[in-house]
Amino acid sequence: MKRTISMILAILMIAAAFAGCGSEAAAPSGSGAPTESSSAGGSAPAAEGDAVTFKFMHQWAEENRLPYWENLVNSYMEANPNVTIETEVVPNEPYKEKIRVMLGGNDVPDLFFTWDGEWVSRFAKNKAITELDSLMSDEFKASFNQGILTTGQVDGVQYSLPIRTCVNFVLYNKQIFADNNITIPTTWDEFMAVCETLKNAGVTPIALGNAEGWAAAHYVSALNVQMVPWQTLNDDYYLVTGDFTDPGYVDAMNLLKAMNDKGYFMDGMTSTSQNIAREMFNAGQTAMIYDQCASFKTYYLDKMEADSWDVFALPVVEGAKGDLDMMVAWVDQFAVSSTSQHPDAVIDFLEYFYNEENQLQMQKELGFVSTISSVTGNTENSFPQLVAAMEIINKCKGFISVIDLEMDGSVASVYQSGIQELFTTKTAEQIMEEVRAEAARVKAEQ
Amino acid sequence: MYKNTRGAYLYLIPAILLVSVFIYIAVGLNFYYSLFRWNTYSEKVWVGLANYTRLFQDGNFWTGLKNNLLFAVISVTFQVGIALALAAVLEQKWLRRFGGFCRTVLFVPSLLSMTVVGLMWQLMLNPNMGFVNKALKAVGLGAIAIDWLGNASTAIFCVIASSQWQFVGYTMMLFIVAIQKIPDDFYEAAEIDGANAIQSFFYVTVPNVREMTLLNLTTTLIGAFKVFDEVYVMTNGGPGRASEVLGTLLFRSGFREDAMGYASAVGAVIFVITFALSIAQIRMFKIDSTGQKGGEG
Amino acid sequence: MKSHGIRLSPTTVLLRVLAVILFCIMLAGALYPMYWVAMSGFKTTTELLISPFKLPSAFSLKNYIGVWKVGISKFFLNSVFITVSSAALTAVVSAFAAFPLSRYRFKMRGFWFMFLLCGLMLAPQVSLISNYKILQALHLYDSYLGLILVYTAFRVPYTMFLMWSYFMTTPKDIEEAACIDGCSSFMIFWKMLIPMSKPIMATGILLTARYVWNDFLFSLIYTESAALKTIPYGLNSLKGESGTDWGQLLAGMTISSIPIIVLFICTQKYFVRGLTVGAVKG
Repeated sequence: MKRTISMILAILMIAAAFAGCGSEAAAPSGSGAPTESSSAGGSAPAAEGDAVTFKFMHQWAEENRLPYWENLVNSYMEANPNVTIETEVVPNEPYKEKIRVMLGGNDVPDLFFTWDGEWVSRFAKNKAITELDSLMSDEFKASFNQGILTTGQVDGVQYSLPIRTCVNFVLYNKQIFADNNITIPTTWDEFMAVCETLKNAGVTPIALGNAEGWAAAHYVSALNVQMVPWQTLNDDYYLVTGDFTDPGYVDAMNLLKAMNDKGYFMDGMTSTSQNIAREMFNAGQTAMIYDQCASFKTYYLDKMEADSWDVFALPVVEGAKGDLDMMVAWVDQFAVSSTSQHPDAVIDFLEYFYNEENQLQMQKELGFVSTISSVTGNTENSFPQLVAAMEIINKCKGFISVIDLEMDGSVASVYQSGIQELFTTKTAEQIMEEVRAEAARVKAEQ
Repeated sequence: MYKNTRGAYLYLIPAILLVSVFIYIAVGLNFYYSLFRWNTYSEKVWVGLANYTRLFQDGNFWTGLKNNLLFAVISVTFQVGIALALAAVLEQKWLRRFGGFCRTVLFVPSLLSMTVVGLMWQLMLNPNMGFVNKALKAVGLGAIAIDWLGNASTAIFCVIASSQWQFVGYTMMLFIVAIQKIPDDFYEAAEIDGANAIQSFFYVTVPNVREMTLLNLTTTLIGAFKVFDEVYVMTNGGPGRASEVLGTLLFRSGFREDAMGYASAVGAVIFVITFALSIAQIRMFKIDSTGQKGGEG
Repeated sequence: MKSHGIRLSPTTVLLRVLAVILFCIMLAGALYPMYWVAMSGFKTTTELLISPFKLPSAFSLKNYIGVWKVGISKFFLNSVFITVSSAALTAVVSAFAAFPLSRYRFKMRGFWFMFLLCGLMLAPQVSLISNYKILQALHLYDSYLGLILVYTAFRVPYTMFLMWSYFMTTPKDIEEAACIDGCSSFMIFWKMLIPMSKPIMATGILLTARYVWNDFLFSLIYTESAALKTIPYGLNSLKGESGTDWGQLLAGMTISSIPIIVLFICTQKYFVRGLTVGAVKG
């Protein structure tokens, strides 16, 4: 609940930053200055100490993402010769198992990537990660977009630092849309009409790979926001009531199921990985894909012709009971292990990562939207599609995360795996029945 | 000279130590762990038998058990029934030369790792790049060219099929060895009595490979409850939880859903089932340390 | 059955033709998927998507070399090292255990025999979580040694049984004669029994090698650094990487399967013997 409000705040701040793009971008750089001094090398506390080695684990294994992280680590080690950083990169899906196996081990990574919401709070409650308030300087803290910084807080204590903001959009192939005289849909009915037109023209309308289970859950997350009243949604997600009795949940899933029944998704949707779906879209084999803004650069901009694609917000269901001004978003995080022997060195490295220069480079190379306020609004290194996406984000009033990250882990698991079976053997009613039962079990356990 | 007990233990100690620590203590600990709520990075909270209560109310557990049973029934049909029939045909004299080649080729899949077989089947069945659906469409069966692994009602059967593909040749090889040990006189006597090939299969082959049959039966049954790799690789229990088996349920609960205690309870159930089957196996073959055993066939 | 000279009835001929056809279909069913994997390893991703049946347009080793460089080489060497070590250790430990169980007369013999043998019945998953904790407690988690010890523990019961059955059949007279000359039990074991048991040792080693080479679960859980992972894990992780190069994955599958198939063809005799002694799968 508190998170939602803070997210609203965060977004307003992004909006503010964007509103004044050029001028605003330069202004706060003063507050970013201290971080730069540490990057200059030699002045950080860790630099003078004894040899320090720590482990860093992240999940950006893509060949066009890896160099950024390698350069970051290497340049830091060059400037701080006494520090050795051992990096381990584990791709997205196995990461979810890996991180748990590692946290139980003797050799826990000192610094690691994690998702927000349920993930951070669970790690924090079990004391697997360390609180950062006492380790971070005030200047460092102040350099963040303060609203977004709260996504790494549990009960007001800072446990992790936000890396990038992720919001889903519909990406479309401009050529295919032009060939079929399609205009951008804004309502759900128009959206369905577009899909029908494309299908009749022999084009697969939408690439979707749900083998991992989260890709279709992202549609449901977004549709839930539209179909279920905002307050009810919050009460259910955070298990304040955990009723999940609103008919909107069933309607949301049925909208998705209808799309599949009409053949708007690609063949083999349930058994295909989302990465293959991405490849099919960027190879021009499908007209649209629903994906998040932090993926734009790596999966599409780098692989498609410059002006061959664009984005629009998921169309809205007219007359729906939900709050149509809200969107789905999540913020990935870095956390420091509570067993780390060198938390100071890790924080020093983080300060280096979050300095203006490296953040700008990150925006440029990876297309991640920075969480550092002096960099967030900087469109200099951006590209049109991301700018368009940010404009859509700015119009929206608030956010809630996707179901797989925000809810209690076992409720989310039941929900998500239910959605995988929605397309063949289960009805939306059955799935919600199971979600209700699991929510009741978890509430009883609490 | 073989009466020095201390000398005997000197030889036995490494084996006893390894087996004690990684098997017996591990099983004991598993039961202990199943009485707590915990995950890899948390403290353990005593919950008594709550994990077991939850287990028996959990639809996924029953789905898993059902899939294990399906695995068992189908595996027994193919790896015992059909494999024996195939072995008998291959051992027919008129087919012997071809038979040797045949059994080697059919044996090869069992040498591959389950990971490779799982990936192979996953790719074969993939609607976009696999050859199965393209072949079906080519012969006019486009209507059944579905998303095999993405469909909740077909996924588990595809996984089971991959396992049969891999292991039928293996048990067939074992039956062939057993059949080869049957003296030729038996068949000749049957022939003189006027038995045709099918009759001599039922009256000579089947009774004489009884022990190998029992052996294959029990190992196939136990194997069906140990399944993990192929399911993990091909479907990871999906879509949803439709192709979950106990092994993947254990893994997912423990390492994905932070419920190590619950996972241990699943482990305990797997243990009870495989233990009972193994005891039956050892009983049936009367294996003991005196050197009298029947399992060899 | 003397088929020469005896006229076969039409039904018999029909049945035989049917049988041969059936086996030809089965052979095709067994071979085609393997052939498809090896062949697809030569193709580009586009070729894979468009024409799954056709031969590759060019027999380029690009994927095979690519996947080797991408990391299969490292996984491959790990697999070789872990497989060889585990197989050797298993053979030694099992032979040591089988020796007194087949020779010595002592009170607890029956108990220890059953104790070791019953290790067979454990599904590896049952001990998955416990061994994960045990290895951590022993500071062997995420190490070659830890993985090798677990593999050995799981293979000892079967290999011990294999060797025990063989030792039971070897004549004891020679040993007793040697004994009069004042030979120690170890000398008898090492200089006489082991050389006599070479075939069964080979079988035990081969079966353990096959098990370890193909295992996925233990490598998945008991090691965490990529530097220690074995081939099955490596292959599955190739699938997980973003922008999977399917040609490379298929090439990797082929590379990983070749050693064990070659090993089998070279040592078929031992393999089959081992399978039939205890005939326990895995």
